[in-house]
Amino acid sequence: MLNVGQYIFLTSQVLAALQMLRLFTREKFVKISQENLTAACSFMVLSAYIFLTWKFVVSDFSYALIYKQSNTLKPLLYKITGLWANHEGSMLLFIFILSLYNFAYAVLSRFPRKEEVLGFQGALIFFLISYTFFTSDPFSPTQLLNGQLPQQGLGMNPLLQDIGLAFHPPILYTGFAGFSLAFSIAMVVLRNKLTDKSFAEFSRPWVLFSWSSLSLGVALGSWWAYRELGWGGFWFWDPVENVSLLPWLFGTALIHLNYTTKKFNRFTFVTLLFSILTFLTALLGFFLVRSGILTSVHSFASDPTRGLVMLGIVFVISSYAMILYGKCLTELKFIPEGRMDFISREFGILLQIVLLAGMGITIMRGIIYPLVLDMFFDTKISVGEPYFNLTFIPISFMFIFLAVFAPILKWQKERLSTVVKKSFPSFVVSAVITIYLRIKFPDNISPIITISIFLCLWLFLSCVGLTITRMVKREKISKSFVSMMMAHGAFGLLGLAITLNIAFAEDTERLMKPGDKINFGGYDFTLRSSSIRKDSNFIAQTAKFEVAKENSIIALYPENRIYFPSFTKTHEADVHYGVMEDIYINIGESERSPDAKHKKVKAAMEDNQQGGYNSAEYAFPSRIYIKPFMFFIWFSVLVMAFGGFIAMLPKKK
Amino acid sequence: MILCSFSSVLYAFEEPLKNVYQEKRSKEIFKSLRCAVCAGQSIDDSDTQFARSIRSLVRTKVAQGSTDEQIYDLLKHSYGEAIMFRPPFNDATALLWILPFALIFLGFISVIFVLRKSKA
Amino acid sequence: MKKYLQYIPFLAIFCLAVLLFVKVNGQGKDAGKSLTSGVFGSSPMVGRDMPDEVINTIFPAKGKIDNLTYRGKYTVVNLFASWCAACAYEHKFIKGLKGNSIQLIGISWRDKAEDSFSWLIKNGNPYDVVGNDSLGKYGIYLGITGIPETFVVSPEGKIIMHFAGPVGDAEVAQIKELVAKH
Repeated sequence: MLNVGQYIFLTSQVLAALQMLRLFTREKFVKISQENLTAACSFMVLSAYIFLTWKFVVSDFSYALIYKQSNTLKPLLYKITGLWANHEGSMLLFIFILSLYNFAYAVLSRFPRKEEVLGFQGALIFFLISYTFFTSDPFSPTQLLNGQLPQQGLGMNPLLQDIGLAFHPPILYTGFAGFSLAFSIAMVVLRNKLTDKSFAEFSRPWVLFSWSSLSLGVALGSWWAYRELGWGGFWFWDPVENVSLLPWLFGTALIHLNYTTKKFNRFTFVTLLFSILTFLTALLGFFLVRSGILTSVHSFASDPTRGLVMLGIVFVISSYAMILYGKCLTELKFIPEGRMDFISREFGILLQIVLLAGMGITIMRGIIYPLVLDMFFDTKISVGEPYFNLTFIPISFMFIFLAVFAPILKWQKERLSTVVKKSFPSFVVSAVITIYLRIKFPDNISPIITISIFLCLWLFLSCVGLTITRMVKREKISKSFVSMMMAHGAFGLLGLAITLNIAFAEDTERLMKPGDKINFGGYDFTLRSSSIRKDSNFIAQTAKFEVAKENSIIALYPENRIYFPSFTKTHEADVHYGVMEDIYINIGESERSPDAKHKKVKAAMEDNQQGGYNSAEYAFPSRIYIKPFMFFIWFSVLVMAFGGFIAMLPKKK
Repeated sequence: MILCSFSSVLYAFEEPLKNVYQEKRSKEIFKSLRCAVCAGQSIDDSDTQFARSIRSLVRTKVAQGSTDEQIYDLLKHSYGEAIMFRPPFNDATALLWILPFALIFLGFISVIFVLRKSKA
Repeated sequence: MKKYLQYIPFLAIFCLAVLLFVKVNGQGKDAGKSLTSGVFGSSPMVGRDMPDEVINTIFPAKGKIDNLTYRGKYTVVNLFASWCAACAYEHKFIKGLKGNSIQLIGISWRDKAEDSFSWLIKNGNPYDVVGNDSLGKYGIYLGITGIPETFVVSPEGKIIMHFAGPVGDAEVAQIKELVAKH
């Protein structure tokens, strides 16, 4: 017997199948339009999602997922958002977001072939719902223990109990899922052998929206890791992080390719290829996280069977797309309009595509190579930060260099002298500033950092300069100009902030007892005391640090926590977010202060008072980090995504 | 009871080396070593017992005057190549290092080549 | 465009899919793996000599463990600590190794000497010798990644077996069988 949740979910699956049928026959299988079918399917998915959320909120343990992942002690926010902190729930979240896209597309799109596009979307959502329903059912009922339902759930991994969980997966998935539309549009173009360029204009807003969302989603993941994982890093070249970068890289390429196709029907084969690849890499990422073959902080606990089934689905979708694409490569011809010079925006975009593809392939190789070596040659190597730093960075330098010229180059043809004239001022200013920094801070600024600062600063200043020039000359400032400047300028700022952060970050580690003071990074750090506190589902030992500089003092409270009912221990850093720099303190497990006498200490679980806890007895291994310019990192991604959102808006008629 | 779970009975928190240059060198070495029991962290990032032991050993060796190579060889003897964070450059991994640049180079060349041809 | 070119994209996907398929399948088999291979693959220390390092002993007092300690008889080296729950679990199995002409050596890893000592008094001490590795370096030379880990050393001082994780009945039987054969 199926339960209510499963019935709702099954209905959505049937509706998706009907939607998909449109691909095979022009006849309306039932007398409902494709748009209405899509709306109905989306509505069903929405219902399923709300239903499960409701069950989480009331802690209904008759559903196995809620029993395994939740308990009554969890704060409400995490009851709701914990729905997607596991494999089954996150599948449902992804399907839900995809259904929202389908609905939005059905309502908003003016593409002549939108029914067929919805057919492909229906197929995608049908595969995903089927996969989820048969292998990872979020609605499956709990096995009864001795004929009874469990009274309390097992709770969620405490590392996930953070505000980042509320935002990172949904926004990230909004990024991934949206690229399916570009994919489906490409499928329709290829399947019907359409050689006109208009599809690019219809694809563009969806690609921009997805890309901006993905940028935000990845940044949110970084921000979460920065606060949660305890050592102040924000990018770890973790395999799952890398894999989320692939659709971003290819998506960036796609945005630019949409322009070349939309304007001149140029590189259209490449546009179609990237329309396909961006989504396929998103799917691949989805698969890899759940397959168990990557060692990562992200990995969902999952059995290999699920991984294999998902691999099968991804394989089928990819194969269909690639066979279709391959055939069209030999059969179709896209005629570009006008000519293209070497010095032109199109050519610059083409070079950029090569670099983006290169970056993407590097990441893929970094993931696959160790697998191959391990499997066929039984050699274990680690591919991590050093590899990516050495390979990625030189390529990014070339990429940033190209980006400087992007807004300067005109379409089709530009004079070399104009290019030089427009890029020269920012070149000079950037060079001067870079040289000054190099002289003033020789220890922090290595040759690579120097190049990085120069390039990023050049890009940033170039965008600022061009904007100011246009404003001063009272020339037309179009929406597309604004979005281009925002996105490219913010990208330069991002690179600059990251570079300076790496150059000037410092940290130190000391064992501190209450009353100890150290001076580091221009601040005085004093460990004042520590205390015990009890919260909804954990107990924490909190250390109080005072950080003083000149006349101002702030307090930071890093703590060590023990969660119930699992007895999991975590270390929670405390961060002071500044504009110019963040101060970040993390403590290890306390040690009995060398000069403390051994006393029996009463457990503080029953009584909340400090009685029995003598703060003077506990010393903490303390790690202090000074992290400059973190604010600018988050801020620039925000601006960059915003630029993408602005570009999406339709032109004023 | 709970407090005893908070307080570790672990011994010897490792202080940084007094010599600033040596400590900096040690830190660079930590960053090049991979933590075996973590997900992709370096020895510098991790706070596991394993990482602390390695840091302790590396600091001792640096203070005693060992070169970086000697320290890496010592650790490779006990753990194999996988403890090095950077994949080595040998026959097996040559492709891994060269391909990124080779492919981009090829990409540029073919782009220029194709364009030349279409202009003719 | 030549006809065969159209299949290249598909072939790339196919190869990747096969690779991933084999790897995912392999994962399932990995689940049943024994304790003999660690995170980095099987330990390279198996087949190599015990480290040259010298450490002090906690028990008997004022002694030393060095290369010579391992000559002349089969030795089982077990790394443990008082704070390690898994070591507490495996302790009864370690006790089962006592006698059988095996030299049983315990190494207290990253622990205060007095804490390990009290722990052994409380839970029973099966070891002939207990070494003091409070900073953890000896363990690193042995190539451990955590505790408990156990090594079997030949009378020539070579490591012939390695278990990364708590030993149970199966491993104890394996060790006894190996020693009995020689």
